Amino acid sequence: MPITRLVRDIMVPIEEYPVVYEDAMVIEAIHALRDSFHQKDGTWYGFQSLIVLDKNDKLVGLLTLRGLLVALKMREFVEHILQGDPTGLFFTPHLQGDLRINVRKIMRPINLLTAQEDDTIMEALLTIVKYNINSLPVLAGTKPVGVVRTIDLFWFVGELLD
Amino acid sequence: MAEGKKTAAEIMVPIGDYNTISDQATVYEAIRVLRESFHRDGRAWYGHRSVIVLNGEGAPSGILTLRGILRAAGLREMESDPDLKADSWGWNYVNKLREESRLSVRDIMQPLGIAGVRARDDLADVARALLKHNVNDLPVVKKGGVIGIVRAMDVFMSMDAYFS
Repeated sequence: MPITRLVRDIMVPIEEYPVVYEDAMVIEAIHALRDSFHQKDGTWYGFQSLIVLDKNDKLVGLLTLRGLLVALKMREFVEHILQGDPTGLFFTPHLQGDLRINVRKIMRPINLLTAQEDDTIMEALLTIVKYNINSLPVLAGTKPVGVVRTIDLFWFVGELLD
Repeated sequence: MAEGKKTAAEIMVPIGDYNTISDQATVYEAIRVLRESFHRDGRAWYGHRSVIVLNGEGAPSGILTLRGILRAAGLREMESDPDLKADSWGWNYVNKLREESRLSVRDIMQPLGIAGVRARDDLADVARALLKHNVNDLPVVKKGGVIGIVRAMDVFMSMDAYFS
């Protein structure tokens, strides 16, 4: 039984996962993720990614810490170009969009990497290792049902190590 | 423009806060030590999630992360996938690991000497370094020594100043 433990047995069900909308601005995403956090005895705990929904509440992506790092890099690049002078935007209109970064621009689209709920946990582990990610959306066919994370796999890794 | 940009030294986890493990320890011992640095409460996990690896001289030489453990678990499966082998381990290394009977922490840790940030680097510098090296943890160096680890999490907790 342990060898064939399935993703659905260890994933976080989608109802329990924090969400954000794709047209939200970065600052809203930061707050949404922080709302899932608390600090206790000097250490932080909570979720480290968000499910992204479109305006029809369809799951369209995952916003991870990596996406937020990209937002910071984009934002800081524009600030650097402008050197604190916003009139520079007149000459660089193509950069205006980069000052207003929404979740859609920095999320990982859902169809890039997924697992099926009846995949084995080894299959999910190989995807997570191969693509260097920490959270993977789980589908039942085409319907999102959960998220499986590095940390969920870690709990059962003893079984996978002979 | 963001006022009072925080530095890596201001947001990092000081090295003294971490549990440690010898680079000669086995993967099984590593799992046990990592588990001890965690607590579990429903779906939320808390703790530092990593352990500092000490070399033979007792100096920090690597970070042991959950990812390192997962890579070890996937190793046997990875042997039959050329893409995985090339990306994650390299051909010669996989052969070497097959010959040895047991993986050690040194085989699976993220070495500290390869990439890092300076204590005075700011938040955006740290973000760029984490993205460039494709990791969630980097050593913070001051006067040639590692004084702490800065994580994507630490950048996240301070980055709102850039977006208000």
